[in-house]
Amino acid sequence: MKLVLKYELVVLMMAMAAVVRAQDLGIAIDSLRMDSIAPADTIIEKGDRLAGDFGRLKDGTRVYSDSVIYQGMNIKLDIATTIIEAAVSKGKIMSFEMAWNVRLKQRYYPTLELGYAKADADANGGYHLGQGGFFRVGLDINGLRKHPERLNALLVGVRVGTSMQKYDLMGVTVNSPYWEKSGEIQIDGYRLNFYDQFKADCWGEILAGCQVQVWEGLQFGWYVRFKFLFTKSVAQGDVLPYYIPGFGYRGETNWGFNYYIGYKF
Amino acid sequence: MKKYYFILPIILLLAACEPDEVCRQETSVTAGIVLRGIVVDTTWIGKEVTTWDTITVQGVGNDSILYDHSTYLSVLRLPLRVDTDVTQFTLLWNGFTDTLFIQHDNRMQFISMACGCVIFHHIDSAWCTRHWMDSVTIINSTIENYEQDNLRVHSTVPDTTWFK
Repeated sequence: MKLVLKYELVVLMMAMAAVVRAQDLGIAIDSLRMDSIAPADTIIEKGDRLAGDFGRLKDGTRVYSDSVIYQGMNIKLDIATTIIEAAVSKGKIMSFEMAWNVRLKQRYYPTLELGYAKADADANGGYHLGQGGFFRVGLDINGLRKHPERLNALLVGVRVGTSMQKYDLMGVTVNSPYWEKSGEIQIDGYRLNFYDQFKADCWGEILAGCQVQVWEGLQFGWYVRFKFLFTKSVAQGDVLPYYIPGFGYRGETNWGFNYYIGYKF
Repeated sequence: MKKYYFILPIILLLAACEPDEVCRQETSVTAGIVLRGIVVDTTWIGKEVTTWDTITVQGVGNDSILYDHSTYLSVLRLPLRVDTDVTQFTLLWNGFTDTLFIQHDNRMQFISMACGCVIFHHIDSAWCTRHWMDSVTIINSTIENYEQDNLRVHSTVPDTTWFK
């Protein structure tokens, strides 16, 4: 872990230099990428038009355009949630998620995250068997200086998440200790079963993290997330699920951590 | 050994996140019954009392006694039935027995896997027999914990010197 952190730091520092923005040199930008005007990485001079992402000055300095809006997409696979959820729940919860985002103008990352979770938990003689999918949409903003080739980023972002799950709650205790002793009351032995329940939840997230280019398109990165549940109100008689896919254990707020392995296409 | 030190905070972090498998919160609710009584001595001088002294309370249909000659209680905490909408209690005070009727609805609330369900109540009405109780009024009709006062019993009774 120490080695990886050191390496990430070095890569972040390297990201701060190396090429020059075309606009700073007074080179006109043509973001339509018309090769007939000037192919990428051809020798250009001040006043020339730069087509595409890159060009090169006579002294060898590479110049780039940051006016190109779409600059590739990333697919990321989260490994931390899967490991942490399984460890914390002692194997009762399995959660998988992945993310897809696009890089716009070297700074903005509209993101879609998809996942699935299954919670087979038990406590106090009751059982929760639930599974469902979730997705989050949102935007990350890169706080680092723009750089056309380096994919490193310090990110802050927001998400809105939604999950839908089907679940069974079995052997739920009903607490009425005084009247339970009377022998008059029998509600299935003071335990209730709820089958085929369905619940959709919605929440918001504020997050911060980073991504580091390790080798060509391969990236590592992490996020820390603060989550707050929107669907807090409970209808009369509702029995709510123990666990919300993508959000975690039911509560008004929650924390999350992701460690991603990603690739830029 | 040193190189494993970084594992300790991670383990502590994970342990701190472990969800409760033991219920750590109150899971039953009770109706709080307070008293506004006048105890009259043989000279017909009344003294206001707000504490239950030497009170015995039992649920009708239950052999267990909730309060057995309990003294100096500021409030009685009475659990309501979850299987029916009328709960009855007999209250023996100063040698007189009355029955308290509480009509209520029952609303189930799932708390967690470990805690199960709690049945909350809403009091629709309350009445009593009139041996020592005069009337019952509703202070707070919602019963969602075991701390609030819900009913007030009004009463006028002779003190024990009447019987000596």
